[in-house]
Amino acid sequence: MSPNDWQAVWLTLQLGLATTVILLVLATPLAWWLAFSRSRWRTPVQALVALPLVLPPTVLGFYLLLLLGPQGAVGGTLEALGFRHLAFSFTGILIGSVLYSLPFAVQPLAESFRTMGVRPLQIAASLGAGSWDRFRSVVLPLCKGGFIVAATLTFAHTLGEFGVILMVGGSIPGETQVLSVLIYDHTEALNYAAAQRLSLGLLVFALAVLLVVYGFNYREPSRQRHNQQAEQ
Amino acid sequence: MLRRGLTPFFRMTCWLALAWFGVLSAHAAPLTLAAASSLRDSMNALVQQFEQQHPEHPVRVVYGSSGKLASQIMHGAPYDIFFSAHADYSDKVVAAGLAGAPPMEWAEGRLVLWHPGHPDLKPEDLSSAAIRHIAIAQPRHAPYGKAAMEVLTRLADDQLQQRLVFGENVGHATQMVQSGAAEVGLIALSVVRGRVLRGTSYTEINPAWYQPLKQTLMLTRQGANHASAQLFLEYLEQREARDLFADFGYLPLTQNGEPIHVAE
Repeated sequence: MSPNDWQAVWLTLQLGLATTVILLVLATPLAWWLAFSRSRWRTPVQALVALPLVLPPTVLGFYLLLLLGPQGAVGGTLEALGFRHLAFSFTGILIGSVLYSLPFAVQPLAESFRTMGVRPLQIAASLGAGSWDRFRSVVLPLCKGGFIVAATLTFAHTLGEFGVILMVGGSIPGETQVLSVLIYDHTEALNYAAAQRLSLGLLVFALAVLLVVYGFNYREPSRQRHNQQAEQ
Repeated sequence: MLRRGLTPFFRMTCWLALAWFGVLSAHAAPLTLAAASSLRDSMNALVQQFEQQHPEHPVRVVYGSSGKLASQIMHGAPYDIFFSAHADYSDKVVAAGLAGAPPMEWAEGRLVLWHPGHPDLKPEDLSSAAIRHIAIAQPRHAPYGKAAMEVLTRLADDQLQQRLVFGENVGHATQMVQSGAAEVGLIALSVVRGRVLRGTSYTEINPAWYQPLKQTLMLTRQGANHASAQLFLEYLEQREARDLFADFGYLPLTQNGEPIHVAE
């Protein structure tokens, strides 16, 4: 592997980790609201969150490029304030990744909150637990599987991202050239050996991640059923 | 149990985040070149030479079709020097007010017919039924694709249009042929003289059949402030740089912009 390849591996890991951390923080309250709210806005918000699943990455990439670039609402404002706009930068592809992977974080979390239900929280509250204590000692342990699935799926999906990053980020080594984009670049350079190495690495990694996710999915329901039986 | 499990995790995340911002802000950006795909192998070789002589001036290169790169510059891409395969696209950057210096024509590129499985193929033979796919770069934003279209139009065979497959740039079109998906490609001489394809057989297209592919280079507005830009531009003027590009089939230009034909 060339230094350029390692640089892309490191960059991809940074992007994946940053996206996962940011998304877990943002997606937890959002998923909570989606799981328990009776607001009439629930369905539209749910649809919006799921949008990246069906939208071509080029559409998202195109809008983001216009929005974050020097003439866009966000990029233009930043330029006016003396900062650099966000197109073709790491921050730009990070924003793209967060939006693109949003459903992969929100949906497993909302699902596990719904499965848990509000009852354990009511019991904890009646025992005098504060809201942070309830989150830490009731929600986190009961929905651990949901958090793990959300984190792994988000991380893995960020690794598999291509179209958004290519459009928003270009292919700048060390800045926006993540593994998927580098593989594309290697094939264009007819550098098949390098493309092969990186592709195989990603294939093995993706498979491992999915094994982890399905392993958890399989174990969680059986344990919950067990708990319910014990309650009865 | 969970409390003990999570606190170190949060602490570690915070440290990682801090370290990561440190890494991101620590170093100034290397000199960033945006170069037409047709230049890939020659530019990589040149940058390697340059970095050997000036290890304190790192260079990175982004490749793509000239049109795509120009459009990226107009959307704010942080490129310092733009190497376009046609003056049209450097002129667009000038018109957008993003040039740091006027563009300069520095060499002429050539279009070739590359046909790995069909030795001695001439452009007129493209009408043969054995040729089912002809790969070219997207003419709307790739100069070699536009030149290829001019050649195909000249051949005046409507059948040919239906055999066309379009790569995003000349590198992508080459890959379509290399993978066997297309039988032939109309691509750049510098590509068949490149790292992987050097030594394979190809047919040069009569240069009178398409508009000259005058290569331009241009300092961008951003590049005008980069400490390494001038040094790199001076390096391009040197004998060894000129020889290197000549080796990839680029014809140097006279003062009037006429190509100088070098005996091989």
